[in-house]
Amino acid sequence: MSEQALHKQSRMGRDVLAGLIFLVIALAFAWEATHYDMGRTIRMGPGFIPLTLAVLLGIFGAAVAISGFRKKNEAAETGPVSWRGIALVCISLVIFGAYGRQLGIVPVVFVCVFIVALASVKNTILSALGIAAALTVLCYVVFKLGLGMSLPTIGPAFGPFQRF
Amino acid sequence: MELLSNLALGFETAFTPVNLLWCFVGVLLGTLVGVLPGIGPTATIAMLLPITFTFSPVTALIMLSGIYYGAQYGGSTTAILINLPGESSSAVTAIDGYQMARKGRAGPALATAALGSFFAGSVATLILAVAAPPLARVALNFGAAEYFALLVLGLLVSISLAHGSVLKALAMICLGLVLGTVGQDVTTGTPRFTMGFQELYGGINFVSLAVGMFGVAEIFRNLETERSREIGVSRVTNLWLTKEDFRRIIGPVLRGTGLGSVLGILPGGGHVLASFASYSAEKNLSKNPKEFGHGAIEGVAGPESANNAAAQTSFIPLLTLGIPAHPVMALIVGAFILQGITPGPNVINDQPALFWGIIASMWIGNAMLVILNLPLIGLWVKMLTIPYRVLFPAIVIFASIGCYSINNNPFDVYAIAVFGVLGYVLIRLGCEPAPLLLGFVLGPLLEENLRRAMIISRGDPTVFLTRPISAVLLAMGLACVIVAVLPAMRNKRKEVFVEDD
Amino acid sequence: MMKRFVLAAAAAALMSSSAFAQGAANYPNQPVTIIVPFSAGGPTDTVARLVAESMSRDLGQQVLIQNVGGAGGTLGAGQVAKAEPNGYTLLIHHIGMSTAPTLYRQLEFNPTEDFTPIGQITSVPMTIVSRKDFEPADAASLVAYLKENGADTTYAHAGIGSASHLCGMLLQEAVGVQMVTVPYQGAAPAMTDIVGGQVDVLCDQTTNTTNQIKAGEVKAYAVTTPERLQSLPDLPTTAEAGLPTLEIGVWHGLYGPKGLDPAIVTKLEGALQKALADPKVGERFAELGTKPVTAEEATPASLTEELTSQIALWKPIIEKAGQFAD
Repeated sequence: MSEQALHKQSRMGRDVLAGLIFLVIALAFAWEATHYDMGRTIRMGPGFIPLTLAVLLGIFGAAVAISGFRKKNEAAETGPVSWRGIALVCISLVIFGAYGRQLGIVPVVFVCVFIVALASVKNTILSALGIAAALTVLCYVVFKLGLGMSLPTIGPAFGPFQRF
Repeated sequence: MELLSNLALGFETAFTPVNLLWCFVGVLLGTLVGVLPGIGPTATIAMLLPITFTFSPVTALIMLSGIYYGAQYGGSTTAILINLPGESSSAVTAIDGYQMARKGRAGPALATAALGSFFAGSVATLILAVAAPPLARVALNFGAAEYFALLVLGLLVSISLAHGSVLKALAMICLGLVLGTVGQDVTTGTPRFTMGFQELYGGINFVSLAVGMFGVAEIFRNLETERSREIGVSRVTNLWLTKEDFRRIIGPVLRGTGLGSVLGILPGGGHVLASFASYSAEKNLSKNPKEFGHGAIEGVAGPESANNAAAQTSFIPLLTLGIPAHPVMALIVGAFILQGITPGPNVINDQPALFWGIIASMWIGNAMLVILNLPLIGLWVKMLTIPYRVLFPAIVIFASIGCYSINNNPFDVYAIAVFGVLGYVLIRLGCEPAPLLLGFVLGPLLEENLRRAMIISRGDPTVFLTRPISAVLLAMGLACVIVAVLPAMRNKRKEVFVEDD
Repeated sequence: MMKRFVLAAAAAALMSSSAFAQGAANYPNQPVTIIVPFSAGGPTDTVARLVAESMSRDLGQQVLIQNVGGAGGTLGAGQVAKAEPNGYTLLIHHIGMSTAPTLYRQLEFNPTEDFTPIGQITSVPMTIVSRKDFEPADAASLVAYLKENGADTTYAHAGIGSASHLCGMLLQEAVGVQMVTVPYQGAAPAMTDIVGGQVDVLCDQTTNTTNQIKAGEVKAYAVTTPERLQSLPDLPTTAEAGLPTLEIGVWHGLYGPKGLDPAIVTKLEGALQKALADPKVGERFAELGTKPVTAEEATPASLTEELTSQIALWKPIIEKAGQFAD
């Protein structure tokens, strides 16, 4: 297979994959929507609109996939997926959501920023610590002192060191 | 003339040193918090309500309104600089604004946003002063059937939001509409697609969705190429608009102001359509629509003006009827009540100094905003020179804090991660996030109004055609589709040749 | 799993340190947060903010309002039910506390067992209004009209479980007809459509209706309290109008999580009673068409009684209407 043909195939795959993603999401929503009451025209049930929309999404998804087999698309410049970056950013978001209130704004910002900073190959442990420290101070000043947000400064997880 | 004497009273009220000071504090705070994603005007006004207890009513309301429209200014800043929109209106600004910033034109983009907003804000305030009560009456003719027709029109017109495949844009709109149905059903209370989590009863948070699909997905994309090239803006050409830029933004600003003013008056959520509608209009009117999505200055000028005009005219239902058009207005109602004034049709007659004072302060506030914001542009643009490895952790943490602070709901933070990944995958596969956002914003409104219209009409679907406003809106939608489809079909044959060369 | 573990560890750490920060003797030594389970700007939020401002003066610590909206108020209430009983996380909730156990069949908390009641705050009267060109001229003719054309009359409410929904159930029960119910998302859009003449009837709190009534934007028929209102003296009561069973007030209460130290409860009760006696609070309440409850009602015993009797009252009505929120 020539290099050009290979390239063309990968572009084709892009649309097919996108269409399949739409189809899978549509199927999941449609399946769940059938569990809800459909109602009648005067009083449509909670399932009617979601099912209709899911079916529409499925149709468009299928169309996208089919068109992927048939025609070419403009290529987008893409590099290798940064799995580490994605994982670290997601971990940080989950930690913030799950433990933010327990830890308090200062510790949680420090931990989360440190983790996110490591997502970049250009940050070392030391520079990540530095960025975390700087952003912790900034966030404390802006959000706690400035806006008086409701997260404690240091959360109940720290027992006697708790600060509101 | 009565209007002049009223305005004189208003300016007399607004020009006292105390009111000027707090108007300034309000717009300054509004700009600053508007810059932070998530911490929008709602959160700020809620946090600052207790402070205003000690003020006189007019001072308190001048300051709180200042926060509101100040935040509309600030909201575009992060959308343009780091692709992090804090609300539906700035999501539209992010499409072309961020692309301008990437090309080193962050300065002109920010200046366009500021100037467009100033013009729109001033004109809309004038409309508010001249014709608020009659306009509110007209808006009341909008029932569920009319809103449904308006939303359908909005969706049909907005297919042009995408600059790639129309099919993918349609799929993304549908995906957005579907995601919009997550949460408790308004009509029956049935929780849908919540997987048993009570935290999802309120639905998916818009800010989380926008921040994930735009901001975080963009970070994932930038991390791809981190090794091979320097990310960020390499060069900043100029901070100010060129003569050519000025020429290009006049039309969009005027049209955006008009569209925004009209849509903002509708109490049932017309304002959310404003910036989307303006963007679609500009793209369809443009001589080279291909530039949209790649840094077209019209794509910043139009939506920003529309958004600010709508922000201003959305005070009309509140001030004349006492009906808040959206959550921020509801909060301002709370502020009125805490001050011992129940907003309603009587405020304009019983408290003329208050009514006209607020209107006059909006002019002053808008002027302050433009004076405040233009010098800030240099500062904001400098922010782009921060190395990306420092900037993106800041983006992620601001997004986390912002989304969390809206409802103190951890799911709003988890949603950023989910939509960051989903957005990244879809963008990599060549799908645009903007249509999804539009679908998500309009979906719940569309469903609610369709079902309500059917209940009120006792199940008679012809109601959409027998009510004149609704029929006209639907006919306009149909016309748009025909106009859009005909040349597209004609061009199709040409495109096949172009693509194969 | 991990989350459980960390939370347990955190809780353990907290208990071991409770002598430091959570002692009842020096309560409160940090800001107190009152969770309002509805969005900012609504009537409940307004009531809470007025009371909180006054309470903070007596307690000598800031009393902050935190809005945790969603799921008809059950999300915020659930958060308080799970909170540490240290007196720093409290709840202000309205009548929805008593309807939640029936409306939500999978409720994660028990209103009578998972909270420490502190006291009642106020009860906001409701008014029956209609679009201004609606046919019936007064309450008596409204009842007659509904008996005749009820099945063809549209009734707006602010969402399942909202006060206007509850009042609507009572109205239909009292008149004995099933109207066409039109749900809205919140009181404001419902009122918009009443003023705009898109729907016929609405029964909502005076906080939302008084101004529209005074301005003649809507037609008012009756108020749902035993006595007439000072702010709307011409409006007859539902009993006068021949609907004695239609009596409802949106009562508000202050709660803490289960197991709150009695000394802290006493302190909060005192602060609440002082706040309710504050003339400024009374004045603002009056503008909302309501008044603070008496000192005897602002007590744990009175709130407990109100809560249990209201749960018992609403259970059969909601079950009969068959409208649940989950």
